[in-house]
Amino acid sequence: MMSTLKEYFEFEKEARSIRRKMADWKFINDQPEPIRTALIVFVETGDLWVSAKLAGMKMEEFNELRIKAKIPMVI
Amino acid sequence: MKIAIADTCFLINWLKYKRKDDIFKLFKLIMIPLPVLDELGPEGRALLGTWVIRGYVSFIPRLEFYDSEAYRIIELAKIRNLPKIDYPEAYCLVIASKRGYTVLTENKATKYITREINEYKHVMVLDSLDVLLFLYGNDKSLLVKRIKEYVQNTKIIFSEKRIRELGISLEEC
Amino acid sequence: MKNVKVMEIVSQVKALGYKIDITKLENDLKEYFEFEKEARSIRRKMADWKFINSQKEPRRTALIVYVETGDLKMACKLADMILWDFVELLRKSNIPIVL
Repeated sequence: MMSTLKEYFEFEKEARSIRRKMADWKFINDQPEPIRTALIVFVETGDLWVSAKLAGMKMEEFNELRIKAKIPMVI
Repeated sequence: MKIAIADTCFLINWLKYKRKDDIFKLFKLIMIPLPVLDELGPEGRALLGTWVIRGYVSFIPRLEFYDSEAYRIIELAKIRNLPKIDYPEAYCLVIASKRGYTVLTENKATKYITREINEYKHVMVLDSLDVLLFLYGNDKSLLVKRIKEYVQNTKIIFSEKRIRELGISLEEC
Repeated sequence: MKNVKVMEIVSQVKALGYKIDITKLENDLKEYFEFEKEARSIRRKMADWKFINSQKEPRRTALIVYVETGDLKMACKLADMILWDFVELLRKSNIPIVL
């Protein structure tokens, strides 16, 4: 379990770094709240469901938005 | 540290408080039911963002499994002639009762229910004054300062009786 | 009269399947009515009536309902606003939430 956790944390660290680097921050900052915050939450956590709920959007809708914001989903 | 479940009326005030993060000295996690999230506007949701990023908050979907109990509580509040309880507040109480969470709500009805109804006596209910007391109650002058700040940030007023019970005066607050 | 009211509540609560502590119910009823009296007086005194009366309906009525009853959810529904926005309106109207 410890090695799985270690692996997961390393993966998340890399994924977050990629999302931060590739995101279109101008697009993100131009968005009205709570969409702006929800996109930032997605960059930081990679959690699509939580970010969509925060934005008050369906997951599919939010997914389209994160694509426009150039935030990759890292798998 | 415990887990709390927060109702809208608590969040609406606490999120305005400049020291809102201090609540995580008491709770490791705050659960927010989606029906509660729906009642927060864009500003409220945006204020939750930092908490979500830090992993302090988790959202609970509406589980129909708990609906009938939530509606029973709503009826109870009506009969009991209490301040009303809406679905999100009742839902918080049901979940807290099943999972051992502390309820964070400003609605007095929830406290009265846990005082009077055997089924809910084990549930701890805190409003913002209770949270302030838990956080700063060891130092009376600090408590007074924090209450003043809280009142300023949120425009809430605490009742004279409750302030007196803390051994401080209204003038101090 | 008071005991009849309490017993009426007790029997209705029992019909819902709950067990109720009658002594605590009596204390809470007394406490709540005293609290609500104080709270209503504070809300009436502090409210910015000029601002309230300048609001369009149904917001004006919703604000007055809140001042008189302290029922946040009901007033919010009357105003047809989400709760966060209605509390912001209360702040602008200088109507305190009394706890």
